[in-house]
Amino acid sequence: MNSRRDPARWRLVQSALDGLIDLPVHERDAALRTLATQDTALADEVAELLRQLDAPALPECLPTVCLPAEALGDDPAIGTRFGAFVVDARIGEGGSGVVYRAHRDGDYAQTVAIKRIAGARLDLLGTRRLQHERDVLAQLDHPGIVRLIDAGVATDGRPYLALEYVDGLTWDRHVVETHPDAATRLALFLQVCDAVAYAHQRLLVHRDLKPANLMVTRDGQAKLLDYGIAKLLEGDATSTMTRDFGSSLTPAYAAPEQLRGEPVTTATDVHALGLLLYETLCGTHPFRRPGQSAEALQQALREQSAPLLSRQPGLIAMPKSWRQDLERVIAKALDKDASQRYATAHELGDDVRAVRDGRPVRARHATAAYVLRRFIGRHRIAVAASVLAVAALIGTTSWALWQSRVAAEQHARAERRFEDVHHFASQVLFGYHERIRKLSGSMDVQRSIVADALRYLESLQAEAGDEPRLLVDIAEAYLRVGDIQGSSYGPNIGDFVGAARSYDRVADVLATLDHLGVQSSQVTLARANLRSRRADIAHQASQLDVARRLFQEAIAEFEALPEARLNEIDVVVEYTAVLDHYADLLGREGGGSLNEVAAARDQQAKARRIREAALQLHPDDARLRFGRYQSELRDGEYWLGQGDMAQAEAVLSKALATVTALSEQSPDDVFYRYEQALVQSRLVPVRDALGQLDASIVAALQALATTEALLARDPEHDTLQQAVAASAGWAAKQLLKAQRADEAVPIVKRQREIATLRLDAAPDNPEGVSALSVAIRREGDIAEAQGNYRDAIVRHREALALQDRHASLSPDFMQTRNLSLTHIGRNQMKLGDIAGARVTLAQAVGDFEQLVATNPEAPRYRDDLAEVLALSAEAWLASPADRTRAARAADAAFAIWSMDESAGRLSQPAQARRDGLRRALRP
Amino acid sequence: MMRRILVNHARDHAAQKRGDGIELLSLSAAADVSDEGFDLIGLHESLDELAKLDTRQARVVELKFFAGLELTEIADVLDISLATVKRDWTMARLWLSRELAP
Repeated sequence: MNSRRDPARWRLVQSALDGLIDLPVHERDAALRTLATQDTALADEVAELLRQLDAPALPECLPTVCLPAEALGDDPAIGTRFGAFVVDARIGEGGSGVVYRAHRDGDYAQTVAIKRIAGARLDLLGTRRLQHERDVLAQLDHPGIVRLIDAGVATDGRPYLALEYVDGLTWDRHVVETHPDAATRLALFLQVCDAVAYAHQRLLVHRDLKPANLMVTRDGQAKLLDYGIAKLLEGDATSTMTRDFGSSLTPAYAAPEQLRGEPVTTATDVHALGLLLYETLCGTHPFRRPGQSAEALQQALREQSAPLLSRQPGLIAMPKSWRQDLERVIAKALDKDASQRYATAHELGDDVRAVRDGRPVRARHATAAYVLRRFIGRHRIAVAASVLAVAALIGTTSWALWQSRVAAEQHARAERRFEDVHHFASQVLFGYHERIRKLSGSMDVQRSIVADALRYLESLQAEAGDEPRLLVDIAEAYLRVGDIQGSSYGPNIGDFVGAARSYDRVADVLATLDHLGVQSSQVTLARANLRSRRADIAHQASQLDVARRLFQEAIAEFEALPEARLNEIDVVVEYTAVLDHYADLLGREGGGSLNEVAAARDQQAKARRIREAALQLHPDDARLRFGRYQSELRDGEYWLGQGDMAQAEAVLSKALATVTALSEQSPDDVFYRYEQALVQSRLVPVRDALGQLDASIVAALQALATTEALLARDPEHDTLQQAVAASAGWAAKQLLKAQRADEAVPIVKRQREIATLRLDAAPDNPEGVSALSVAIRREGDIAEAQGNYRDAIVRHREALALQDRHASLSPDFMQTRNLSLTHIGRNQMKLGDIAGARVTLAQAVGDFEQLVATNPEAPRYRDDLAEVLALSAEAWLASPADRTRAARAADAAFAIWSMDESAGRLSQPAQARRDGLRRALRP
Repeated sequence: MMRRILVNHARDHAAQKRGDGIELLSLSAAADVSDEGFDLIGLHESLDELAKLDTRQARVVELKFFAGLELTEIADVLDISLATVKRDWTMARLWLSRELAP
């Protein structure tokens, strides 16, 4: 017969049958005959099939143990014997069959519920399984589980279970009718948990936990029914068998793995318990909707997250903390990934108890661990991890917010590809850095964000294993965190030790990558950046040779990058920064040859060129524009150092304009305002040198106001403290110069206050020591201005003592120290202590001469020398006998000033000084 | 899948029947379980053939027979109408009966 082989043929046959099946017999025969005239073969086949209609060889269902479903409707049961029990009444219909109340026939009085297993569900295997399960279930002895008393096959061949008789209501009805409060509902739920946990201990999974399988006795004891379909975990666990006893075919209480036909575990029961808890608390199933198709329900179970309890109008009243914690517990119980749920009902029960008792729930920590652990494994969690970072950005430790976002994100992006994740994670890590950079939030918040970030990175690192792309991300993240902790080139929280440690971490990760043989431009970049950080640190610690070498190495690595990379904005920003920092080193070092300054200029110029080129392509990029500002600032400082004040003023004004524009565009970016203050204070000496004293005071006071405002928002911030101290110093200096000493008094007090604070926080920091010494110097200046020369001398000696500590570290430190001598000498003169002045000034001259000799390219040291020579000359002039010495000193001063004049850089004050000296020398 | 297990058992059982007795099931009452010797293996093979002709019809039979689902339940699971399930069941039953008929 063709229809055995050919689907098309079978379809044809079926259409013929369609028309004939429902016809009364004689009409059917007639129709067949008609068909036969058209297609004999077809008619034969159809006829053959139709013959099966009356007595089909295939029964309705498997024989022996099957009953037509309809037959259960009738009720011959009262008085029927089931084993040792006699039926008294029908109690109702359960999921798998009708239930009767029966009594034991015999001396031992016992009431049971007899449950007949509905027909087609017990197959040929069933008899043996029934026995097996009877043995297992008979062991279950728990107040929360309906006890199995007996099981067997009745005389008519139908199997039954004899169960403990429960006098009570089903779960739903109990809740509706008694309307318990939240605490009672939790208590009831815990009873169920305990019962299931008991079974879990015996390796029994229920697989079909739902309200319909739960009863509550009159005494308020919850009872689990239908452990008759429980399955042992040991032995064969082919889950398709669940279908055999499957009463849950509108699978509202199925776990995702059940729907997929995968093996069930205790975690499956946990999922069901989660659904139960949800429904018990708010009266609604989380995924079931009216009018919903089975397919839609299944999809919801597999993919959607449960709506928060708080969204359910039927939620029973309870304390807010309970609700929040319960939402977390439920979320963990309902996790689509079975391995992430509570492993057993016992753990779930524990956490519910924790909620009720006000203890922290495990769900919280587990979810955090989940977040971190899954990052590497499944990628989905990278989103959650990034949300964690975002939460840290917000500075909130609101776990509920974070956790609900995790859930939402994770479900939304379940299949995110690794590259996307990688990209996303980098974006977030970078964004996080930007956020900190903006100095937003108080120091405490920033510290805690940094602490969070470090913890997160540590776990990430532990989990990253050998995944190169993630390792590189981690390296970069540590770099950024390290910068925030203690890079003096940007906002930082003053944790220099922490910064060094973070940079060490970068080195560790890079070593791992090296060990793995990973070579990519990304790794090269990270390495170059690390080197530049180390170079900065070495520079700060005044290990100048080390710093120089590291800078050179870093720059070489940058230059070894492929061209495409070098054009990326990120790379441009980092590379030009390194060039600048190197230039700073070269410019500061002195070292003895003119080349250094020139070399520094070269680096700066290179940086500027690269930035400008990039700005052609990306004119609005804020980081590049900030880079331009850096170039302008350094240019201005160069001219300042060279003594060309006009140029300095012009360039620094440009710098101020650039950074002001950036600040106005990002009003919340506090760092821009900080830089504004920086430029303003740079302008002070420049204007001063141009003879614009009042303008210089204006600039200084502006700078001071800006930095004080910034500091007020964040009083612990080291960089800002530094800025205030510097601004105060400038303001005080200029005010003194303008003979407004009284106005300077409170400012200098502030300056000293801040400097002391900073030094207390970081006692060995040379820069901090210097800053304090400068504050003390200002006090000396005020004293001098007020005519208190003795006080002035005391102050300057105090400053000198501090400066002596680190003078040898760099020429600038030396200069500051030498200046103190100058001040002491001058004050001695004013005091009338000529002898003392001569000694002091002679020493000062000697020290400055040495400084100039070792730093010939630095004009300002010469200016200082000229000044002290002039003072010295004046000291000698006090006694006619020493006129020659005076003349000698004076000549040396004139020589310097002439040099300046021919170079076109003789400042106004210097000219005035020279004239004054000339006058003094005239007989 | 479930079908395979059942059939395996049937094969074993058939093998067993030649030698062993039947176990008693119940504690409280002894009862015989009669086995009418239904040609389960033949059904298994026929179902395989039917599946080649119409997968869904074979599935309907499987679900009805081996999982013991009601027609309405089968309609739910397969996400088809009850009418369709009924027709599938009728047609498949005819076809299979023809195959199994002695």
